[in-house]
Amino acid sequence: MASDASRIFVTKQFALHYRDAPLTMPDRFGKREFGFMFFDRRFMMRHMAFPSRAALKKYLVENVPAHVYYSTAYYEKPDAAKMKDKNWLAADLLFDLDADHVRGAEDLPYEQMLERVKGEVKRLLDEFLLGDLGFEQTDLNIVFSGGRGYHVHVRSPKALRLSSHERREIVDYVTGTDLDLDWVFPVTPFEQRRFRDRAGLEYKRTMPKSEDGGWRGRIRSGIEDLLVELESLSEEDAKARIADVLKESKRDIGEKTIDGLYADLFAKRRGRSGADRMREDDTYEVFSEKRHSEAFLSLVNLRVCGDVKGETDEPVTSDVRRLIRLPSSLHGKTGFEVVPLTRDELDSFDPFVDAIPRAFEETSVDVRCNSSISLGLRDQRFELEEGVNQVPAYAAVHLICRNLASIDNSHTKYLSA
Amino acid sequence: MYVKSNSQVIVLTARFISDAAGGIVDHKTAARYPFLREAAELLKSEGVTLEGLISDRAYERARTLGKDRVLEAVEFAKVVERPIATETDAVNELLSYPVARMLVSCLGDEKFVHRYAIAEAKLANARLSREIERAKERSAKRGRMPPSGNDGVDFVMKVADELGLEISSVDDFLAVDFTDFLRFSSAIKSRSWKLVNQDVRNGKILINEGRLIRLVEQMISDRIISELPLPVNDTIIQALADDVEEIRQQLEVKRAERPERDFGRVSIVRFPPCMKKLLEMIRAGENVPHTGRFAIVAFLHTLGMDSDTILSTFSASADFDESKSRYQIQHITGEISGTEYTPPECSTMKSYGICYDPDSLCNKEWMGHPLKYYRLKGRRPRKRGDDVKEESSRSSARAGRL
Ligand code: SF4
Repeated sequence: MASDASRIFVTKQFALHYRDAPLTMPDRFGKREFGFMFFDRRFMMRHMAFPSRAALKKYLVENVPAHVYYSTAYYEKPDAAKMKDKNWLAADLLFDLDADHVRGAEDLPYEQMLERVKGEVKRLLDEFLLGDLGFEQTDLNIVFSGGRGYHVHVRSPKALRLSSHERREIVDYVTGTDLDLDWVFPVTPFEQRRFRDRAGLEYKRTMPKSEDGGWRGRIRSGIEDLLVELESLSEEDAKARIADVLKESKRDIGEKTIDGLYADLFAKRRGRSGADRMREDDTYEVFSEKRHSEAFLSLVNLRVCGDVKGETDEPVTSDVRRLIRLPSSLHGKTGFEVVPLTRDELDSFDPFVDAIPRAFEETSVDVRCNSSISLGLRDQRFELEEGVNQVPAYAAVHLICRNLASIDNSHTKYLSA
Repeated sequence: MYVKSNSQVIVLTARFISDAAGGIVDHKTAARYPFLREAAELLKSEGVTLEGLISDRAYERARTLGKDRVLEAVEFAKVVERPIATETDAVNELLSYPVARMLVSCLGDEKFVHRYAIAEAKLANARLSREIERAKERSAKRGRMPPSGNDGVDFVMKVADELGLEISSVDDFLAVDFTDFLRFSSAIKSRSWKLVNQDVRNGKILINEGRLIRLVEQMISDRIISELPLPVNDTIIQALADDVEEIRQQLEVKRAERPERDFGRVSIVRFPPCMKKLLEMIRAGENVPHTGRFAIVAFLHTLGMDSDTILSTFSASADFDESKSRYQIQHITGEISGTEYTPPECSTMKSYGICYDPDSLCNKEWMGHPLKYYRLKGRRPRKRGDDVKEESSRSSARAGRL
């Protein structure tokens, strides 16, 4: 933080929050390790444990940390100084979606970045955690991280004892890593009798069905979306789109193949196209040549898989000893509250309104901005010039924490107050 | 404490335990699945004491079988299936299990506990697969297509249930909770077992019979690992000392073998004549009946050869069809079906007409299995004039080429 004045100001606002806000405590918090970072110290204070909510609250009010963490794991001795002495018992299953790890999010402006990440969180929840994996809403804690993303904590008893390896399997599931297209489109060999008792082996692929589960079902609906998309385009545009996707392919797929593939899919024979038969008859046997069918597989691989895959940060999920931000604590680099949310609340959640702690004051403060800034907070829009601006205290906290502004030193009323 | 007498064993064999509690276990079932709690209870209710088991002459057969179990675990990492035809067979087989466990416990080698547990679990896999096949044959005989309810599958489900795996049915498929699937498949490294490549529906994973059995296999080896070593007292240690020493030596020999990825680990000079012949025929591109292909692949697989090596071993033949062979091999080794097959016993080999050129070791009356041949041939000190010593320079040369 730029100056002592800024730090003192922010600390005071944070203290208001910790005094007023009800703390949401993780279950079995007595068995969790806690860790803290402070505005005026570089190291993390960790290996701490709190027997009660009151004890934690007292600590927060008295020490006003910049960041508050707790362990997703619970331990027999959470406050042992060495990890091996803690004796790991179990850990929540955690997913971390952060702008740094979401495709195309990191270069967006902050507001849009958070929207983009939120979209991925919804996919993770609806498609994978509540969908395929069948967790209940009550098993999940969704949390706005206060920074660049969201966390999802799964507390279902059956998830708690998953090993690190098993958790990585779940990440691979969500991200579609190591998906085997030979499983999605199973290959069945059939013997073609030749002369005498010699037999040659040919392969037939099977189209995944809509009722299939897991990635088969997901790819099936992805293919339907793709077919609809291509059907809506002119022949020329559709082929261009296909060619564009197939450029990424390791194999060299030429124009002739794309023409053939397009004809196999969309030319009508007796009123029905290959795409129709694919959808209606659940068949993959619509290709006139092996090259076309292999090119279609590449298309599925490059385009459909990418469209339907989920995102999450792998190391966070597979680490069963991780520290994570405590819900309802504050994030020292934004001043946002780490807000616990239900699935329904997530839809309308706007961090710039809902993550500004109520305890932060409305009183005006003079801040010196490093450059001109435009942003909306609570129900107000701020267009700030470089130099000194007068803003409500809650906005000042946000600007200072993000290092966009500092308390104007010429003004010392907060120091004396 | 009293020692069981011979006559009491006969009483034991003659009596069939009624399963009043609706249990799944009679003597033969207990003999096939001795790791089940009900099998242990059956054993307990018979009043056989450990002391009796290790010293009484009446249990000599059981002790031999128990030692075989362990030696096969050393050699093949798999306990070879023995037919259980009579009640006496069943009792001996059942009793051989605690004997084997005592031997393993006396050995006190943690790594070997793992190997032994896996070996027992593989035997259970083979037997469970058989239950399902038999049930299918039975219903086929009755002139009906096997309906979705197959009592072999029901049996496997009961075993799974006893081991603590909950099986449900989703859209008429067998299914297990995905977390159970993850837990019990985590030792299986194949890509086809990855979660991402499963049919997942609302937290459940659809599995076929072969995969169910494979998961059960894993649970069995987990259970055995958690149970061993048992506490053993001095009496037991002394009584079993010779056998334990023999096992220890075998284990050392096995560990000294270099774990090469090629044929090296598998010694072709120890092959029984049937397998030598089958291998020769395949490599010469001769027409080998399906049963013969099955037998040699299952044999090589059981000896620890991986699919690729088996394939390249076969590929020496001129008109070798790689894709077809690969599919067959992967089927037999369980990579596709989840069921690993063991080679047939000698009697089955004979009825298939592929027991080629049996030699004098084959003709020993206790010889019952090609794997037993392999194991014994390797173990015997090669005394001059011993009929086992039939190793020719021709076959050594072949071993080099493989
Ligand atoms: S007796 Fe058994 S081992 Fe010997 S050749 Fe026949 S099948 Fe093979």
